[in-house]
Amino acid sequence: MTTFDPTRRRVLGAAGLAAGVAAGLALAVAAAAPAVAQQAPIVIGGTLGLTGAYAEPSTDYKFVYDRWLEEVNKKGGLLGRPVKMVVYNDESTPTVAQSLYNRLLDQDKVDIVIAPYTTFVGGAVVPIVMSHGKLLFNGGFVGINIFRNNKGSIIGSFTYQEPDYTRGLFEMLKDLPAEQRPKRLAIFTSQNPFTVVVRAGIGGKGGALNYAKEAGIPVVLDEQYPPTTTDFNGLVQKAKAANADMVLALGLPNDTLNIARSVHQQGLKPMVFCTCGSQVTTLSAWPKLGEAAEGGFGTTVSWPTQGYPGLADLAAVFKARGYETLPTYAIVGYAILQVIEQAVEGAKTLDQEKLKAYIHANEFKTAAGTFRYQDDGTPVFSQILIQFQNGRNQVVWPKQAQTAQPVLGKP
Amino acid sequence: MLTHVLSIVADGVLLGLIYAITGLGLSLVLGVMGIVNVAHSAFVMLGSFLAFELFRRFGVDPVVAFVLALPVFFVLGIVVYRVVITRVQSAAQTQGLVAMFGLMVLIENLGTIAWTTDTRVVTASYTNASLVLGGVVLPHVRLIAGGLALLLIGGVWAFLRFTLTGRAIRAMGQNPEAARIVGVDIARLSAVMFGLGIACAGAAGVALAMVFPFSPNTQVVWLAWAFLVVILGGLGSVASTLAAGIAVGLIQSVCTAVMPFDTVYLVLYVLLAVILTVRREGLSRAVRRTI
Repeated sequence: MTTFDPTRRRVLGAAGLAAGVAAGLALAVAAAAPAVAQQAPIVIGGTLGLTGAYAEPSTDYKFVYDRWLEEVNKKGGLLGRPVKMVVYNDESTPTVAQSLYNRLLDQDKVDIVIAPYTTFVGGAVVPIVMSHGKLLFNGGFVGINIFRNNKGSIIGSFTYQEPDYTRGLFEMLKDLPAEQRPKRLAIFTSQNPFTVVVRAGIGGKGGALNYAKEAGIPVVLDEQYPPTTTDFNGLVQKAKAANADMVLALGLPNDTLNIARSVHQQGLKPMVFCTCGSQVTTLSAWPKLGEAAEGGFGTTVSWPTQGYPGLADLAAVFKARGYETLPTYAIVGYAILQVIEQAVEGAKTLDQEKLKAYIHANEFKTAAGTFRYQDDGTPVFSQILIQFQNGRNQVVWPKQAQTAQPVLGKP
Repeated sequence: MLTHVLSIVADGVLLGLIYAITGLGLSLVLGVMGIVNVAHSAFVMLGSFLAFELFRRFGVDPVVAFVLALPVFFVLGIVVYRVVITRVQSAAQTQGLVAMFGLMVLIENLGTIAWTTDTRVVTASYTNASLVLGGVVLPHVRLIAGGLALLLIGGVWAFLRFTLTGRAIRAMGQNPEAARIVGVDIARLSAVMFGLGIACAGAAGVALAMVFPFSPNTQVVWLAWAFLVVILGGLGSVASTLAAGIAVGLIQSVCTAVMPFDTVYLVLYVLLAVILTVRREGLSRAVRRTI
C-alpha cells in the first residue's frame, strides 16, 4: 500500500510547479524562436581527409566549418532556413572521395557542394560535381588548369594560383632601387605538376622565371629535383659556388624544410631566401627549424591586421589552439563559406546558374579579402608576403599591410 | 677549387655513412636469413618518431635516443619475428614477401594515424651549427650522425666477428643445416638476428631524424636507398655495406656537382647497373658468404 506524507506532498507539489513553469518557458521560447527551426535545412556537403595523410589540416578545416555553421545559424540561417553541413571522411584518398561525392549528390541531394582539401583529392571529384550541374565551392585547393577547364563553375577562395606564387616577392623587389636588388638568382624546383608551374608559369605568363626576367634578376642556377630527393647539400653547394644571392625553394613542405636547413648549415647567406612553392612558413614545423628558419620569406592570402571580416577572431581561436601563425588553409576554408553565405543571401536562391551569375557579378567581403571573381572562377590576385623575423612571421609586402620592413640577408 | 673538391668528397662520405646505416639491417637480415624485409623502412620511420617524441616530450637528445633505440627495436624485432616471421618462414618466399609488405603498410598507416603526414623536424642545440675546416663546411649534425653510423657499423661487425653468438650467426648464414648439426639453436639465433636487423633500422631512423625532415610516408624513400646499398654491397657483409654506402654517397655528390640535378638519380642507377653487370655479386666476394 502506498502512503503519502505531507512533506513529500509539498516536495512533489513544488516539483510539479517547477515543471509547469519550465514547460511554459520552453513553449514561450519555442514560439519566440525564428522560423529557422521549422523549415527544411539548406544542406552544404563535402568531404575532408579526417583520417589519413591530410588529417591535421582537415581537422582544422572541420573546426572552421563548425564555427561558421554555429555563427550562421545563430544569425537565423540562410534564406530564413537553418543550415546543415554534411562532411564525410574521405580518408585523404581520391577514390573514397569520389564515391562520397556521388553519395552527397545522388542520395543526400545536398544544395551546395564544397571541395575537399588538396588538389590530389579535390581534382578527382571535380568531374563528378560538374556532371551533376553543381557549382564547386573550393576553399580546398589551387590548380589554375582545373579552374580554367571548368569555365567559372568552380568558385575559389585561394587568392593566388600557381603562376602567381612568386609574384608578391618580385613586386617587392621591383620596388627597391636596382642597386639594392639581388643580382644572382638560384631556383630549386620540385618536379611535381604544381611547382613546375610556380617556376615556369603557364602560357608564357607568370612563374618565377618570367617574374625574374621582368625584375632584371639573372638566373644563375635553375635546378629541378625529383620529389623523392633526400639530400640537398649538393644543390646548396652549387648555389654557393654560383655566388647566388637569392634562392627560391619551389617545393612542398618536406623538401623545403630540408633545403632551408641545408642553406643554413652550409653557411649560404642569400639576400633573399623564399619558400615560395608552398605556404610552409605558416606551418608549425617552420619555427621548429630554429635559426635556419630566420629570414625566410613565404606567402599567404591575408593577415589578421588587415581587418577583413572574421579574420582577427579566426586568428585568435587558432592561437588558442597553438598556432602562432594562422594557417592559410584555415583562412580560405572560412572565406569560401563567407562567399556561400553572401551569394545565397544576395541571389536569394539555391539555383546553381543564378548563383554563378550572381557570384561573377558581385563582390564578396571575406577573411581572405574582398573578392571579385575572374571568368575562370578564381578571385582577382592578392597576396601577402611574410618574412620570419626574430621567431615570428611579419608582413613585409604589400606596404599597406606591412607589420615590419623586409630584412634582406639571412642572419 | 681544392676546397670545392674537398667539400664534395666530405659531403659524399657523410651522406654515404647515412646510406650505409640505412642499408645495414636490411643487408644482414637478407644475407643471413634470406628474408626480404620490405618493412625495413617502416621500422626506420618508427625510429625517427621515437627520436621525435623523446625530444619533444622529454627533451632527450637524439644521440641518447640513438642509444635507446637499439634495445627498444631489438625487442620489437624479436616480437615481430615470433609473431610474423615464424608463421611465414616455411611458406613460399612470395608469401613471406607479401607478409612483410603487409606489415610495412600496416605500420605506415598506424604511423599516419598517430602522427599524420605533416612534416616533422628535430632541431637539437647543434643542428644549425657547422664546423669549417679550410673552407670545407661540415654540419655538426652530419658529423654526429656519421660518427654514430660508424660506431654502430663497427659494433655490429665486432659482435659478429668476436662473440660466440656472432660466430654462430655467421655459421648459420653460411650453412644453416651444418650449424644445426653442430648444435646451433637456429630458431633462437634467427630471432636474435632479426632483432639485430630491426635494431639497426630503428637506430638508422634516429640518425635520419637528426639530419632530415620526415613524416610517416617519406621514410619509404629510404627503402630504395637501402636496397641500392644492399645490391651494390652484396648480401650480409658489414664491411661491404659500409663501402657501398660511401660509394653511393660519393657518386651522388660528384654527379650533383658536375651535371644537372634532375639527371643525377638516372646516372646513379645506370652506373649501378653497369657495375652489377661487370661484377654481379657487388662489392663483396660472394653472393652470400661473408658477414
